[in-house]
Amino acid sequence: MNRSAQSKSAHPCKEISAQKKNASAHVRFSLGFGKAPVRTLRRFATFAVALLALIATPALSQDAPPPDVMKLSIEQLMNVDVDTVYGASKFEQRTSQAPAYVTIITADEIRKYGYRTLAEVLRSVPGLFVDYDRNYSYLGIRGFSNPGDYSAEVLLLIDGHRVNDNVYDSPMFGTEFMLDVGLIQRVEVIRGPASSLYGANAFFGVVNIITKRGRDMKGTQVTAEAGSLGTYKGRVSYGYDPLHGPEMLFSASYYVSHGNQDLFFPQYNSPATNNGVFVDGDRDRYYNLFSSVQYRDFSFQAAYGWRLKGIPTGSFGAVFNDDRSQTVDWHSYFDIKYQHTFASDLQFLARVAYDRVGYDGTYVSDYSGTGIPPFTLNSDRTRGDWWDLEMDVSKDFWDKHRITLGTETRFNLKQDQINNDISPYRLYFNDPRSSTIPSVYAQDEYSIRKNVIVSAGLRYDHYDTFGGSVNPRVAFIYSPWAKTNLKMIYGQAFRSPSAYELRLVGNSALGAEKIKTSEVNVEQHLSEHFWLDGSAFYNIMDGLIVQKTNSVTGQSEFDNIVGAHTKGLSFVLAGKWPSGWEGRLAYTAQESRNTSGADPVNNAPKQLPKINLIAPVVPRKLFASFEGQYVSRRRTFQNTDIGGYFVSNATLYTPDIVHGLTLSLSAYNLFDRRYLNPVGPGLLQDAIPQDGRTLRIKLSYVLGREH
Amino acid sequence: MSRIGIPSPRNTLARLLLALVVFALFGLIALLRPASSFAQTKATTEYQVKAAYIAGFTKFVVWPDAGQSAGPAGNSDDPFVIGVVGDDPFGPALSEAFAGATVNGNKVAIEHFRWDQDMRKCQAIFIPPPEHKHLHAILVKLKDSSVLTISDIPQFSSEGGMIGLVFDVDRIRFEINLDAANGAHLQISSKLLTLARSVKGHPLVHNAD
Repeated sequence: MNRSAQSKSAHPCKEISAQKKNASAHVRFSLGFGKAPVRTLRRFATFAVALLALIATPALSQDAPPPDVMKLSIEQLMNVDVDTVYGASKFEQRTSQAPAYVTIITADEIRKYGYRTLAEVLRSVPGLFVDYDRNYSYLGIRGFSNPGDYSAEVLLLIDGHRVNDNVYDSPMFGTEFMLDVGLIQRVEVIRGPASSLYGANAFFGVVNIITKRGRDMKGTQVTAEAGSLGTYKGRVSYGYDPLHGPEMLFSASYYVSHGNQDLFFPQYNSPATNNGVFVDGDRDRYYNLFSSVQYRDFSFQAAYGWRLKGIPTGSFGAVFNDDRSQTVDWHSYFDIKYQHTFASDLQFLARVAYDRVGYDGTYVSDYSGTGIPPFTLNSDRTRGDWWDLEMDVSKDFWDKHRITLGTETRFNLKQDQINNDISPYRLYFNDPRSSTIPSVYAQDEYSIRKNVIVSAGLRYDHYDTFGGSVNPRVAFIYSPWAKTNLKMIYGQAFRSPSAYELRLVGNSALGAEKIKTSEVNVEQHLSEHFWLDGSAFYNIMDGLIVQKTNSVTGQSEFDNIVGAHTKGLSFVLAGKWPSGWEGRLAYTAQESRNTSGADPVNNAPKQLPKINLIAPVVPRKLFASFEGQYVSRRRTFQNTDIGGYFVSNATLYTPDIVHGLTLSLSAYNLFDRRYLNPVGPGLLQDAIPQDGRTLRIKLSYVLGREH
Repeated sequence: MSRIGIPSPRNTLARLLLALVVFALFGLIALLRPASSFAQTKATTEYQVKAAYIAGFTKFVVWPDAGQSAGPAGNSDDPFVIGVVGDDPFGPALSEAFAGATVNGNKVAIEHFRWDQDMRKCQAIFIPPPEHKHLHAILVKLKDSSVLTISDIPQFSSEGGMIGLVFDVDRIRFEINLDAANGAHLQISSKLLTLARSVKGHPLVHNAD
């Protein structure tokens, strides 16, 4: 995933420019800022949303045409997706009853909004924001993001299978994500601490990807895309869903993009570094394979993803404008699951999975510091593999309690980090690790009355490095009237230090990061197809692991030294009509401060308003979509400010223009806004410019069987 | 440089107490107000699909005496009655599923029953999960009638119900107990049997009387 500049400080001749920059700001993280502007904006937002709701309600409470589902035949009903979430409690339940604030993005929305990667899907989710440093994408939830952590505070799952690697504990969201976005059936974004069920990394939330199955792929599907910046992508998928027999899906995708061929960075604007222009360093290429088979009680899944990205930023002291610097990441796994419901409604689940991950970074290094070739290629690598065993039982007692008990053990066989120069060969570090993480968890969902549920859960994880972590979650879910749903949730979560951080520990042993979250959600149905979601949350974080330079040794190291509080408010007004109209207006405001009250929070945008709209231009035949996200001003990790920006995208989508052929045309960053994303340590730049307007055309053809 | 501030004990305690009071207040309100079913918020809910299924099933089932009570469309005296036992989980969905529809030429009426009431005037009944404890009693009372029993109680078809609605990941499918249907002299079309996830029992060789 990324290189530790630290290796270089051991080398007598080298001081990486990035480290020089960082030395002045000892701590990566400083927090706290003024309240007044946010308060006013918050009040305004509440008023605006309430007003909108009031205005909208009369117009929409007229009788809507009967839902389409009532006109479906039995065969068609068998294929209707019911709005449920799996990831919130490890069993399928209605989102209104889940002990968490959940947002679901469906495959239909992915098609209509033209999302190219998981990062683009997540960018549209209320309260989330994504930053890109032209190497990896980083996720912020509820106004909090520390790219130096590689998003280790979010747990990414594919059908419940952990995707975060075991060296950086990092999920992958952009083109580095191992699953083609076209194979996503739905994305469950479960905000809030979920360590009571999932253990480590479910700090700010969990993103659970539900994949398509044979039933969702109508025979053989071929898709081809072409877009700006020399981007091409192809996918072939085959789905088979017999009424009695194994359900299967196989898919292969390939993507290549030459990216931005001339990137300008003012920080490198000098004749020695090509006047700040990096030529041809932004190439991106991936391929992935996916297969899933379901038969009776068994589910089998195997996946492989490989991705190469050129580094056009000179990160980690790489020579600027030498396009040989790149990172290659891969991840493969297989996962076998057995699920059975016994006669007494006892649900049993057993899972065994094996993962292999690898990262190969190549950094062109100038040890002489003269800027004159030849340069040395430095290889920074990680290799990891692990087994995961899980067993779960769930049963209803007396129609009141649904009790779940489970155990999970992760056997990290290898969590190796190596760094060496290729020629002349010189080894900087070879750090092999392994670990075993056993855990037990329990949850009780108690339906006190028909419309009141109390959910309580607890999980214990054991780590050799810092001992154990116990994480509870309690939720009170109440539906006082037919159209209202209220949730009050309190939970604790943790993030264990990654193998990468453990290698660079300071004086004391690294402990886990901890978070305590309290939140209240209200869901109000304004009419049959229109609803309002309101949410208030308060996070207390402790022991955040931060990278700083040791004043004595000059080395970078990690330590648990920061505590922070975040308060926030979020509103979502959404509607979905049978005619095909669909929309969402969201606004999240948050405020963070560190516990000692000193400096502003880095990379914590105070406001995140978003808009999403799908319009049926020709009902069922042609859809137009528009979405926009605004990210307000924020402070970078070098304590500079970058301005707020509004980025929007538009897509025209026609399913079945000709029998079996689907076409979509998309424009991303429609108004060609110039904007920056802040980056983490290891770069000279404080923020990286993002792409201007890009276009994409996508064709999809289905051969073979009809549904 | 920053250090972790230690929150004052009094502040935390006050906050905790406030949280507890708010929580207790909500709890009291929740438990004292009359209970209603859970809010169905998002589109395409579970019970909309189930209601649509029930409407669909009526097209594949033949009731005894079906020929006798049918008159010209919409003109018979006796409506086709669908009973819902206990608290209705459908909201408006069930009436919408049958909006403007007829079954065997009869208009459709939806009625509500308590588990211990006589439901034999119904042609079909739906038993929601909270009535699980009364399931046996309900089925025993319907023993010699021709009422189609449908439910989403887990393992319904194994416990003597005729059509059980079950979740298959994120989709709703159904299981049929043919023996139970035969016992009520109901004929279930073979088309429906092929679509079922599972069928328990065997079709009758001779016609129903």
